[in-house]
Amino acid sequence: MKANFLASAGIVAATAVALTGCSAGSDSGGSSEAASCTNTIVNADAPQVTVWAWYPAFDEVVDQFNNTNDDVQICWTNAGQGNDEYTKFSTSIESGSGAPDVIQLESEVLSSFTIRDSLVDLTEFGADDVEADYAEGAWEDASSGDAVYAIPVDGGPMGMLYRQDLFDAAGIEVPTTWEEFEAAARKLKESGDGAVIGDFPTNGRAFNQALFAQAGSVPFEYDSASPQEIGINVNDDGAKKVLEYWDGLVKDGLVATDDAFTADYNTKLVDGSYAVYLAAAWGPGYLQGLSDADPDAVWRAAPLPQWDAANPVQVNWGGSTFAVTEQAKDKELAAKVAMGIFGNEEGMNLGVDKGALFPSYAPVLDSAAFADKEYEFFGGQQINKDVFLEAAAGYEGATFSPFQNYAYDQLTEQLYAMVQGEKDAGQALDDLQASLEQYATEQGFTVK
Amino acid sequence: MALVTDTLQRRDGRKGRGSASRNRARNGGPRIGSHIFLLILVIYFITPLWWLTVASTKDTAGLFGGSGGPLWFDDEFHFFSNLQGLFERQDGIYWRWLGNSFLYAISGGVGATILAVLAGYGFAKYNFRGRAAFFGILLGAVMVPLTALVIPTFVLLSSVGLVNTIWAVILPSLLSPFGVYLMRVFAQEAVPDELLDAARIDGAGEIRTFFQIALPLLRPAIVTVLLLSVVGTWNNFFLPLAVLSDPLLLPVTVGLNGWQALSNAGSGGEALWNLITTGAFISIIPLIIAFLSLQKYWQGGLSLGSLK
Repeated sequence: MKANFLASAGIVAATAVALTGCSAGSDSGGSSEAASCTNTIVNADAPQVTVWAWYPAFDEVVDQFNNTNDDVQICWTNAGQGNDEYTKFSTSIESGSGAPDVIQLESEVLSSFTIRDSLVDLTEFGADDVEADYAEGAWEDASSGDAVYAIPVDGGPMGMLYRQDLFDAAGIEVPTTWEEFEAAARKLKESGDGAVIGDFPTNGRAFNQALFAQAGSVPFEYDSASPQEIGINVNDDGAKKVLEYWDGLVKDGLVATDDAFTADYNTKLVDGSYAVYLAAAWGPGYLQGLSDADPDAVWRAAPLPQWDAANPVQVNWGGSTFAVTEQAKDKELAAKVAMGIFGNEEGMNLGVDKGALFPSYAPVLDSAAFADKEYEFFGGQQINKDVFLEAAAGYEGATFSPFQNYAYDQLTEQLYAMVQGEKDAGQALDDLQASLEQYATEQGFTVK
Repeated sequence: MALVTDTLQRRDGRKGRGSASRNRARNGGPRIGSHIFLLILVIYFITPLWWLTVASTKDTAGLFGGSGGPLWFDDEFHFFSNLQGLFERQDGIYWRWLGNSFLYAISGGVGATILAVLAGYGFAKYNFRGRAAFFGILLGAVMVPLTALVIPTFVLLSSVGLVNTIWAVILPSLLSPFGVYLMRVFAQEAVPDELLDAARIDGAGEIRTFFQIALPLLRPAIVTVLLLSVVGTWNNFFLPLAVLSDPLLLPVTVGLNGWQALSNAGSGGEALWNLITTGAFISIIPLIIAFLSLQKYWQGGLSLGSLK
């Protein structure tokens, strides 16, 4: 018995050693980057460019690129989505090695990395020449002053997805202004079947910010040419106007205040608890991923309600880019890859069809095929033509702070206090302004 | 751990508490109350497990809007298609993660146990200079949660170039101050000095005494420490999250977390909820098997402790 026990423990230990020895051996065999390619390299003789990205169906896009490019090959790794990837990128910036040549970054975090001198200005590698190929607002998001730090891939122009069946049952017309939206919210609540018109998540982050921007709020002024100066105006009139409006809806119980992207929120999106999903162009894909099969729900898309119907303002929520890192061995080649992955119709179409991306690449964005695309989930509605193309065309870009993550966290904190009834909208934004000014000063910025 | 303290407490508490509980048992009432209380606890602990079991049979639409609600099965049974999804997604990277978890848990768990047995036995049975001081340091180390050490560990590993290798997970997992503490307490109780002295008088060397006399007596505690450290490494999340970036090296905990981030991502995201729940379900099965199959060693510990 005892001998058995020891023997089996010994075997386990030996196996463990064998296993570890084996994988350590394979790591040291080639260069570590080449070993971690998720894709297969088509032309082994061509130089390789390492890419971190998390796009859906990106394997097909990489294969397409590698099959059509003899002189360069992509070695792709999925290093995690969003913050997971950013953390790893930060670590490799600190340690001076380990970053990929080309990296997927959301537009809103670009200045958080340019301030650490970790991204290459692509204008010297011909980025200016392709500017006309990209949607104006998305290009603006990827630029700072004269510099271009990334090539846009996808965007999130905003619209309104709504439940036609719930609207019909309550006798509600599709609202086109926020005034009508509030009236619709009251009517829906009075109809008494338990649904509210929508959700105002306090952790909406970029979503909340986009709503503010629609009323003209410009929270940050920042140019990477003078990286130590920043203008902070998160409590300007536009933001206050919007937040007071939503505070009113919350106080009257017309909207829910559930945290976004939780299981609870996902359930309510699809079970009819919310009649409206204020969404970006990737929202339909998100929604469809949650509920492909609900036969009762009749989803339709409409433009985002406006403050002034005569002067519509379009806003954007989310969107990502490809940037070239300072650690790239061959920056020119890396820039070529960053511009080339989705910078051709075949690659971008794969992203659109398989990955539900909303393209920033103009030849696809402006194509008739994209505009006329019918979405079965929306009963065959051409949601791009009806809603999102116009929203994308009207979006003029935004400026993000180099500490955008912190700013969003603080915004969430203040909004939570507001919906808890601890302070009103104006106070919440004033407190946000004060905390961000203090933080920026502590971090060594000159607050303009 | 519970076992050891239980046995110890039982020995001390027998006189004091025995009569009180006998009185209470006579009039039945409190026993019903305690049963109801236990039943509530059972439901409380089983519900998440039940939820996971049910959830692993649903597709994503079923998870959020299914006919059965969160705690019952839907009309459609998707467990096998989810399983298939786990094989297809990123060329079955999930199984690679599961394999990594096994590797880390077993090598970390076995290594930690060996070290804990050696150190704990040494602390319990040998007098050496500084024993009290070293044991004091050890007790202090028990109080420091592993999570708090992750960043210093990262810095250390980084300076020797071990970040993003399997050693970055295995080496820190080898140290289990709590396991050492447990082994010491148990060895003190379960291995009588007289027995060791007898062995020495019969001519056994220290090594032989350890392997043939002490080790069999320590078996229940070894299994306990092994199980604790295997489970601890299996469930470890923050350490691999911090020190690994190659997706092929991740354990299943961190891998699934990545999928969750992907599912929550708005732009460029993908709903993988069905794979996450099924993956989580499968990843707990080895732990359940480990507990059930090692149970007899634990029970062996009960009687062993009461021999003296």
